[in-house]
Amino acid sequence: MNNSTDKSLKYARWIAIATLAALAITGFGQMPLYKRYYVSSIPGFRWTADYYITHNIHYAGAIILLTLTAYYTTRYFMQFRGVYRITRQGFGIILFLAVIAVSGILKVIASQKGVYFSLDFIFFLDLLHIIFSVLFLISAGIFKIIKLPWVERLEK
Amino acid sequence: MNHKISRRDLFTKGAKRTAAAGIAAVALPQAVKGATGSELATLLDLRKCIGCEACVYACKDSNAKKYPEPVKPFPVMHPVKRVKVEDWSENRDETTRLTPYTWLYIQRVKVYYNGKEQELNIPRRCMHCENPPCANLCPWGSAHKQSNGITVIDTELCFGGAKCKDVCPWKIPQRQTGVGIYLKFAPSLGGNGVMYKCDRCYDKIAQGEIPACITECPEGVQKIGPREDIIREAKAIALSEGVYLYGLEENGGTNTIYISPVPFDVIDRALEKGDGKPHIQPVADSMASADLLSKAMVIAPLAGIAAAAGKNFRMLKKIFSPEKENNE
Ligand code: SF4
Ligand code: SF4
Ligand code: SF4
Repeated sequence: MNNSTDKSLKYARWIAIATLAALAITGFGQMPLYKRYYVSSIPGFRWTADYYITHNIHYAGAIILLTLTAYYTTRYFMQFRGVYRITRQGFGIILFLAVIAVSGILKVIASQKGVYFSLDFIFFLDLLHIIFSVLFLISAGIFKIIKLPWVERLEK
Repeated sequence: MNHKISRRDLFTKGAKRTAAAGIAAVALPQAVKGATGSELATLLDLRKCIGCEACVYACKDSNAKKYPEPVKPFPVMHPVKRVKVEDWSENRDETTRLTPYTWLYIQRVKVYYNGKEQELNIPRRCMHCENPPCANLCPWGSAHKQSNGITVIDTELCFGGAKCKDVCPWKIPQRQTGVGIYLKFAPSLGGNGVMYKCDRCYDKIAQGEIPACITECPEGVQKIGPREDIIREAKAIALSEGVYLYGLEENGGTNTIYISPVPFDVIDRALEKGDGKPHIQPVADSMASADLLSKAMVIAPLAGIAAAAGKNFRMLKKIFSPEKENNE
């Protein structure tokens, strides 16, 4: 594996972190909290109280993350499998992200014209999405603090 | 007070009239129930509405069991300056605007059009949008759409954050403080009651009955049926009688179509608007950009896979033809 691959992974990592942060901020913004608790009163943060803006940024973030995930998952199976190893905590994170992604995608489908999901199912999806988002944020934070990597480079 | 009694009288008259017209009129024909899988829509012919409010009181009587019974005193909600108590429980008879106890009211306008002064009465309530942002953006799915085109707010799940009202182009849902699930969690920190609006008498519809406001109208202003039929009829009337339509394209299409002899921009200019008093202006599809982004979401993983495969293909090519590279 050459240097340019490592470099591209480094960039991808930062793009993913920035996107995840945007997704978390706009995701929590789907609850009516930012206006109530004056977040939108901070100069430059007025947009956080506009549900359409936060919703669209959330969707845009999901697009970036899905593209990156598909790209690196494909490359992992085609190329990196012998170079990197996903750790146990990495698999945990993948599981959390998968639940968030699947419930999110189902929610997007539910929001299409002419698609009807039952109230119970939508409520279940909403709960799943938010619970796993919180689990993801907490576990990612803990792994970062105690320095447990999600992936490891295999020694050759 | 007299005013109200006379309206109540008219309501009774309307009821009698319906009874006289035959109870069959109250039952929803199979086709109307959406047996065809289609959404239900209503057609309101404003030329017929006399503003008697029989529909308003019919709605109140029919839905009284669903009205909020708030617990008082209300919990103190923080930050106190930001979170306002909204209490309509002492003012349940208000009929000049939408409230948690008035899901339908009559807007009265005087308009000058074609050199003539005209008075119009406009029954206003939820439009039951085809792609309702109130439902799509509700964080708990409490506001949700049914397959028959009805948008309902589940009062047991609603926290009263009023997001549905904020994203509704007409600001229809109305809040009552001191009621609902938020009281069971942290009432001082999150939530502020429950949102209420016309639920198109979904429970009656489910039983094959027609909503109260339709059956009790003495003038037959409203009509309910499968969306395609209602739209076809509305368009035919507009074409043959030179009237104007509202609700067909608004917010990407709604299930409430108004017919008016006066253009709606003229009406809107004369309309008293404000909280609980919706406008009647053109409305772009609120979900248009989200819908566009959701299409991009379908393409995103495919693009990622294609890009990765392309990259690997180039690498494999390099690996398997080293001579060529060396020769270069
Ligand atoms: S819709 Fe019918 S019941 Fe309602 S105000 Fe108009 S005429 Fe009266
Ligand atoms: S009119 Fe407002 S409340 Fe009614 S369905 Fe449309 S967005 Fe929701
Ligand atoms: S459809 Fe039912 S809930 Fe809606 S305005 Fe008519 S009577 Fe009221």
